[in-house]
Amino acid sequence: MVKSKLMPTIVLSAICVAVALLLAGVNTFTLPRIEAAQAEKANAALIEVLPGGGDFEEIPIEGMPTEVTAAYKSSNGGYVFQMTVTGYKPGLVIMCGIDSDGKIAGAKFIQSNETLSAEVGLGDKFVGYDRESITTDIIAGPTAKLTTNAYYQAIEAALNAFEIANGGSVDLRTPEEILQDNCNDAMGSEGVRYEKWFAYEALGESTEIYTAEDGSAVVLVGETYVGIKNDGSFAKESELSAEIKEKAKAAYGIYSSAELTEVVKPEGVSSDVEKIYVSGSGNYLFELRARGYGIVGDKYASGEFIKLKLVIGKDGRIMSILTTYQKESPNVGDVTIDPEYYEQYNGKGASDYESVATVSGATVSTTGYKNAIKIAFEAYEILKGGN
Amino acid sequence: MSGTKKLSILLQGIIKENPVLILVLGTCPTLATTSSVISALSMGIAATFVLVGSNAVISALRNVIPDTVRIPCYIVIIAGFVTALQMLLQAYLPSIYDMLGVYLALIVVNCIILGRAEMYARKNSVVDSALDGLGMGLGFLFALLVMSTIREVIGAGSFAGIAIPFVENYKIPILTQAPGGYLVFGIVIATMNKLTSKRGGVKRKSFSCEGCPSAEGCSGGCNAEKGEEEADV
Amino acid sequence: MIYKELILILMGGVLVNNYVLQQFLGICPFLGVSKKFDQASGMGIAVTFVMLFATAATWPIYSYLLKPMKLEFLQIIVFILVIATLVQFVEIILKRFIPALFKALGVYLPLITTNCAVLGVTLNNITDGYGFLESMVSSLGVGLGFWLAMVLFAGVRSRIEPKAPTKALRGLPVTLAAASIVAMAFYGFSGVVENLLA
Repeated sequence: MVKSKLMPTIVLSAICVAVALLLAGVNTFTLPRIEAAQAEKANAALIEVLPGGGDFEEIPIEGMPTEVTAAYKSSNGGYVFQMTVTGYKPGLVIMCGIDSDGKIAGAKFIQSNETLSAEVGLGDKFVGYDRESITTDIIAGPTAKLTTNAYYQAIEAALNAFEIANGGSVDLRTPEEILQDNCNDAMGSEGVRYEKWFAYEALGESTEIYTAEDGSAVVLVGETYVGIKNDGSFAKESELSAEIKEKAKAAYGIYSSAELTEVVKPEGVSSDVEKIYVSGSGNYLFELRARGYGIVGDKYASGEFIKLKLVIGKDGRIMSILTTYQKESPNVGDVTIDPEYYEQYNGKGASDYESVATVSGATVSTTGYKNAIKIAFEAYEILKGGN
Repeated sequence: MSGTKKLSILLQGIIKENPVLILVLGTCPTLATTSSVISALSMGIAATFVLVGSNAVISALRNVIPDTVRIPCYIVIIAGFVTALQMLLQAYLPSIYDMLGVYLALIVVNCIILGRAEMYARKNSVVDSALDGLGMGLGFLFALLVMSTIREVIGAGSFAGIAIPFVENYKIPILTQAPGGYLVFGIVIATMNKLTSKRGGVKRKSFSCEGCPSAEGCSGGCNAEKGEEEADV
Repeated sequence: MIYKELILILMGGVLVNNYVLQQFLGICPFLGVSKKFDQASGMGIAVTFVMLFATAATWPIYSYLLKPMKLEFLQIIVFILVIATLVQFVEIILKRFIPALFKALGVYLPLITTNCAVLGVTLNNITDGYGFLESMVSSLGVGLGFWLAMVLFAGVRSRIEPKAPTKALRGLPVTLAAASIVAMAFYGFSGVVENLLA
């Protein structure tokens, strides 16, 4: 009786052990080959972006830019970095090889969910550039802004990671973060957010003025950031020379005395002009909404206007322009928020603003934008007593 | 045992008792790996290898394995063969290993293999069992090739990856995808039904999971189906 | 962020990568037991249960036993034995403690051992590099997807079967054609889930 209960267990166990042992045998025999094949496969991907590389060794990514998710060192001194960034959608994975003298040897998209297959063709655009010579212009195009920006961000991260891997130190802050840090330094404050004062150059001075919600301002004089508290006194007076203080005060005077007065909208002005202000010096500031794809688009129209601000000076020309809001189609119509696009209107008057080209691929958005500017000029004519 | 007897064991599986087309076993890989001829061929050969091996070993051990634990024993032996095959493919034919993916491992639960162990190998000699495995494997392979040829030629306009002129301009891509798999399988089975009912020779055995030893548990499903099926034919 | 990913895994398993309709796993019960709504639903629930238990057992075994001991090659054997044992175990537990549930699900349990969807989901969870929580969510999604496919398909079949088509088409062929159409309908979900949380 005992035997009949015991036998099955013994046989089953014996078979399990025998099979496991046999498999272990096959495993010791095939494992080296599998590992070699896998290493070769991984290497092939790395060699594609770093031709001439070999014997790759994964290195730790601590201290590297946050975009970098993996790093490999080649025996010839080059590196391959893998970056994950967010373009139009998250999960854009890019591999970039940098050779031993810091030049980009190759780049490749490993994974992408972008619209318009915007990443196609970007891959090799940066080959041969290094940290000094790289600019966004190389890949900038009229469309697919989010994708190209993300791509640039990834490549820049790779170049920075290369510096760090070679023992260099790199300022990993974005230009925006550097600006905020500088402003907060000048004020002796922390975490206050400064924004470029919109009408700074519209009022005749090219000095940069940054303002915060608490009423404080930072004036950039040459290379020096000068903090001015909301009561008009300097934040760090003892550190400043008399000359800089004088220049800063002059610039601040423009900001604080530029009393903008809201003008009642005269009859005949389009409803797309939301608000009009006039400055003490006679310049007009318009707050406009433009009918882009969000309004007149056929599909997926979001119902959202593009919003912009615009100053027309005494000479009837645009002194300053800024897009403040848009929800146009990502990677296409969002070109309207790019300073490179809208700053083309600077200096243009009623006679020649039309010479700014609409952007192909974003025709609806940029045509709507141009119409908004036309409306501003019409309103300006009415304000000036024309018809 | 004469040579003709051996031949008939072999042929049984390919035509008369074709595991896929007549017994309707192993539907998962039949649908999943037949979007291209190459992957169907790989799956067919892989399954044949496991079938021959497991049938032979189980038959050799048929007097040792106690009845009460025979199913776990069979599963372990089959899983052993599948794992060995998996490792060999990964080492020597990695592209095929990648192509078959999880379906390679799932040969373990392919009803055909456990079914043949239960129905044939445990009652017959090693040579006969191996031949039965080979026949069944070839029958499986044959069915996969029929399915994949239809799906790839019409769906992708190519055969084994080689584009066919003219046809490639009129392909119907849905056939290489999931819905196409079901549809083509349905048409193939319907054709088999038509052919066999005309000849009146081949009797369909059962509807679905009958071949599985575990199908006893599925009394509500299979047996009901079986009864109806027999009434139909 | 983490919960967003989990929802994507869940919805992906239910709708987009539906095991039955898109990946051809678990076809046997799908075609065999989807004739009546109650049976289909019972089978679906039983499979979901077993998938969850199987993942809860196999994931730790792989991660804390097989992997550290470099015994990855025993994965298939161990998983299938674990699943088989587990099914037996669940059966005994249910019979002993929740007889009502056993009565409802019991007949489907033995069939599940050789259901490739169960082994498939446990293997895929490892291949996809999921952590424990992600694996559990993925198994839940796959199980619910299986249940959904079964239930929807039972509805479709109940309409088709009484219509009695040509003799050659009767039975399996017409069922497969219906499955084809249901699978096509599920394509509609692929865009939905992607944009669900975008």
